[in-house]
Amino acid sequence: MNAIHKLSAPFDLTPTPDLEALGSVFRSRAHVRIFDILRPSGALALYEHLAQELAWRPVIFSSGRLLSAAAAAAGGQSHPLDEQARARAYEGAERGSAYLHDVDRLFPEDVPESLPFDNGLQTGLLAEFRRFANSPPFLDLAHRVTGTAIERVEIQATRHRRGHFSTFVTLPPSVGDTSAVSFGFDLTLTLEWSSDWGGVLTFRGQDVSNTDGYVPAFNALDIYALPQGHWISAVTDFAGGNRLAIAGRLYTKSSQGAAS
Amino acid sequence: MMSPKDVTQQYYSARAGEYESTVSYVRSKCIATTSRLIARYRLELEDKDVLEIACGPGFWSEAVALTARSITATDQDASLVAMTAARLSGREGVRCLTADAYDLGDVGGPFTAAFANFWWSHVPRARLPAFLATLHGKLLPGAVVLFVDDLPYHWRGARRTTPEGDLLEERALKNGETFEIIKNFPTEREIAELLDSVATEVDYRAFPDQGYWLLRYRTNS
Repeated sequence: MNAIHKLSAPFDLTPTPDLEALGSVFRSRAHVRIFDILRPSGALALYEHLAQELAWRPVIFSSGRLLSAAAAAAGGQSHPLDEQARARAYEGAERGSAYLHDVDRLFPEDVPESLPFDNGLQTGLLAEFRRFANSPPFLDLAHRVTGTAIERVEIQATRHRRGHFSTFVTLPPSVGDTSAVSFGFDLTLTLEWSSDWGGVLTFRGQDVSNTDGYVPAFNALDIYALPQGHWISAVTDFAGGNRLAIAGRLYTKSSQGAAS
Repeated sequence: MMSPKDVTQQYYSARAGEYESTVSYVRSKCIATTSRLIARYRLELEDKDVLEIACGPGFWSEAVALTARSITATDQDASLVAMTAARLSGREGVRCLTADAYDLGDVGGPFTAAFANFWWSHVPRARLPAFLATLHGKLLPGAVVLFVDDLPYHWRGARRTTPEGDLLEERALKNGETFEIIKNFPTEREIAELLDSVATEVDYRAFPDQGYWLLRYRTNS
């Protein structure tokens, strides 16, 4: 275990972000970025876990189906992309919605009944972060930013390597009659990154001819309302690193909706 | 007449009082870049005994102190060193010293890591080999060294190049006083040539969209 973990007291938020101002931005744009959200020790520990320790699994969604969720050893930048998987994902993207990236597990509602998939349980640091995300400090922050009471949070670690992407998606996943996924978030834990490497969490702008987006950062929380069109642009073949993040879903009672 | 190197040092001494309010990396529009750099430095310098050159008012010293085993922050200007000392007051493993970066005789050591942020560009080209030799002389073999500095940027003020090949840039303080300081923009190739026989694991990355380059290497074993 890396020494950074010795610093990682339970996760905590950095003090006094201006939640009123952030909420105002959120109400106006339906998305907002909060820099330096976690105290440094927790963010560094999460980064190291994602960058060096986590056993990633590639997932491909194409033509309305989850095509593969084979176990894969943790790989770095040099890990060769499965060209067949890439071709299937790109084929799906040409026709509609698709994604290709690495995860630690799927969100529960995304696990297809038709595909045997050992979704496992998050353990260790990710389990600890999930508990934190479901604790009053984080839920209160999400409530104050979105203006909506949050019942619970699910998380998923994501890694976008060269060629990975998620195409435009609008609708939130269906989770039943009593609750709804009203908001999503992306806690990016990416170090050196150039804007032209892709991997940008992108939203439609005021019309279809412009966009808003968040370049991967370190310890930055991007919260967005659903339904809202968004995508992660493809990581270019010349990207000098991996886009690392914790993706999250914020669940509300089904009668409550997104603020936008 | 003062040398460009001395004028540069004089400029930063005169700028000490307004440094924190004018330096680019603390501005909100640079927060993404600064956060990434801080995280990288905290990871690279974790549990290291770190020597910092040109600490200024201690912005980077404070960031690094979170994970370093110890940090010796140095600057040629005593008022900047005092600002750093005040900033890191009460922290264990912190020393703040007035020291000439071209001498470093009294800074102690040996250290297991070193860094100098936005400093390389102010070193006269002709003095870079000697500066690196002096710095490396304070480090253990295999020590980690980090530099970050500006990529070429548009400058509205006056610039000229000296016969020695140093770029001089006219800077003004809030009170209107002007200084002609050294501001070089080394290429990756120039840096690689300088480090060719004195470093290993040289990793240079430029980020034009954010206006900086980042250099990491280890001293020879």
